[in-house]
Amino acid sequence: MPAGTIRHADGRGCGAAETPQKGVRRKRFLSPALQRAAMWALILGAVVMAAFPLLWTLATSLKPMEDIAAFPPRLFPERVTWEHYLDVATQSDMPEYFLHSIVVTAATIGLTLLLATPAGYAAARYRFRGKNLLLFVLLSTVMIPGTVILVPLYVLASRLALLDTYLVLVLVYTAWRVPMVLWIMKSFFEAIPAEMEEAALVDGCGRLQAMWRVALPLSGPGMAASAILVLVYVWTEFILALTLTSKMRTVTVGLYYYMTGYGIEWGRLTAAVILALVPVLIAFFLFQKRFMQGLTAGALKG
Amino acid sequence: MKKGEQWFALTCCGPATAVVVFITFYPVAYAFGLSVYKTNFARIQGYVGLGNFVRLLHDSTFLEGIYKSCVFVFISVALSMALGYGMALLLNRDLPCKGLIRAIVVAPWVIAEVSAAIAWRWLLDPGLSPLMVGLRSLGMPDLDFLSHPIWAMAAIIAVSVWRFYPFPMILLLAALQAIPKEVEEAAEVDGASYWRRLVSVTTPLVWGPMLVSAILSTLFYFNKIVVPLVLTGGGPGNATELMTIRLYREAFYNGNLGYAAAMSCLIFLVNLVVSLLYFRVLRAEEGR
Repeated sequence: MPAGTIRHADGRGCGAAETPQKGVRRKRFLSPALQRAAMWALILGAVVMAAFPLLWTLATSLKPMEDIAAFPPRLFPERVTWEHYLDVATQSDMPEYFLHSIVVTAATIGLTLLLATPAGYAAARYRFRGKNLLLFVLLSTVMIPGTVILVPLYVLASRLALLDTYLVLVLVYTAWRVPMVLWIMKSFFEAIPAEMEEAALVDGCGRLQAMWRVALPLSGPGMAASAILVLVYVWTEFILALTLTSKMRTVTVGLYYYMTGYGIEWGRLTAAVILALVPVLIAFFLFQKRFMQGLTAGALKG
Repeated sequence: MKKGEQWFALTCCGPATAVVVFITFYPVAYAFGLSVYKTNFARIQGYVGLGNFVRLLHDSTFLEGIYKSCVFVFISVALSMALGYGMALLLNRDLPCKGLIRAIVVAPWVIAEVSAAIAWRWLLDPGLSPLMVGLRSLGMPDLDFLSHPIWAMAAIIAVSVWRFYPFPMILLLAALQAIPKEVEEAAEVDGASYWRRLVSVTTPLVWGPMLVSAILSTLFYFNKIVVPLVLTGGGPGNATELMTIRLYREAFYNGNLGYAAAMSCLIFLVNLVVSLLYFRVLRAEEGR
């Protein structure tokens, strides 16, 4: 809608039609106090809706078996027990899956930063032929959904005998996150003044050295933010890991198989879910602002 | 432009570009290549030309899947836009603990989809869920949501929206915060009621971001696979078998990867069209 239309509607709505009523106290739908109460009720409703499934999961994971099977269920555990967590840690495959996830996450963070940081630096500092095309190509990958390349990736990975390896997950996740991290690093470098590197170049420093010795040490926060976003993505990714692995399961895949197995033990499963949530929730509450930006930036890779 | 600069810049960008192109663009092309073969898992059994696509047109389960995807996408987008805008309006004021409220509301969007789906599966458990206590207190019988075709669809919609609506909310909240205070104040001085201001002033000003988030939401829901897969697995029967779930089942349960590749191509084309629309809208927005 063009801006002119808005102004028109705006002017007509508030000026012409409403002016004659001025001075007449119009009846309000609700008194201010009631309005406030209604507003808070709605907000509270949204907060409860968001938190309840997670709190219920947490509560279940802390209940002894007989309380989990009790009906009507109690919201809060009467007696807190850690037995399910202990079971997950000692009697299940979850510790192994955590290890897989940690390795894949760490490797992906490392490789993504290694690839995207110099590229982001070059895109921020240099004007070169093909730059716009390159940036466009990289960004347009955001529009390719995971569902579409699931099948071809599976076939390619099986041709290359890469199924069920760390390498395939790390490569795919890296490719998936590089465009976003490149973008973050680019805007980060753009915010750092270029004078210091120029001075270094004048002093006889090579371009690589200027980047490595001068710009990189200043870009720590940008890399940290990128690392956090990659961490959350890799840690929570499911469908690619499910497709590309069979024995080498990550945490999310482990949870899924646990759930689809026979006779779900909800105590254990909820404990495992809570354990898997921990790293992500910590990262989220520490870096909330970055998250909001990053989530909207990489939103399509669902 | 010095030659050295060009080389340096290209060397910096080269590896990143190579990885991205090889692992995201190449597979898309590969999917098109694969879609003309009949396969048994990764083993190619024969060339069928456009056979897979012709088969798609006669595959009633797949056509039903398209219909189900449309229903799913339409209801989910409508709900998450309404909820997202509503919450954005509520949060666009000076509230105590605003940061905390926003963090809690956004939390479902951050946690793993699998974890969210498992939490909901437990919450929808017919025997032991507190929801059943609620149902009983309303005098209704216990309900096994996930084994009833329509309720199962409602469940995957509800859980998907529950997890995703913070996304339009954040976008719209940012748009609302960008409106100068004076605009609203002027309307208020003129005596416009809250609803009047909302309809005639505020909403038209965030129309662009709203369109953007509606298109992005459409893509997001259209490609959704994890929540339905974990919550219902496409069932009961194939009541919640969206296009994406059909693709997954065909590929990895039945081993018809060529046929599934044809579905992938179709899904890719839908994405492409909607994305082009998105870029158009975005450009129109920037031009304003």
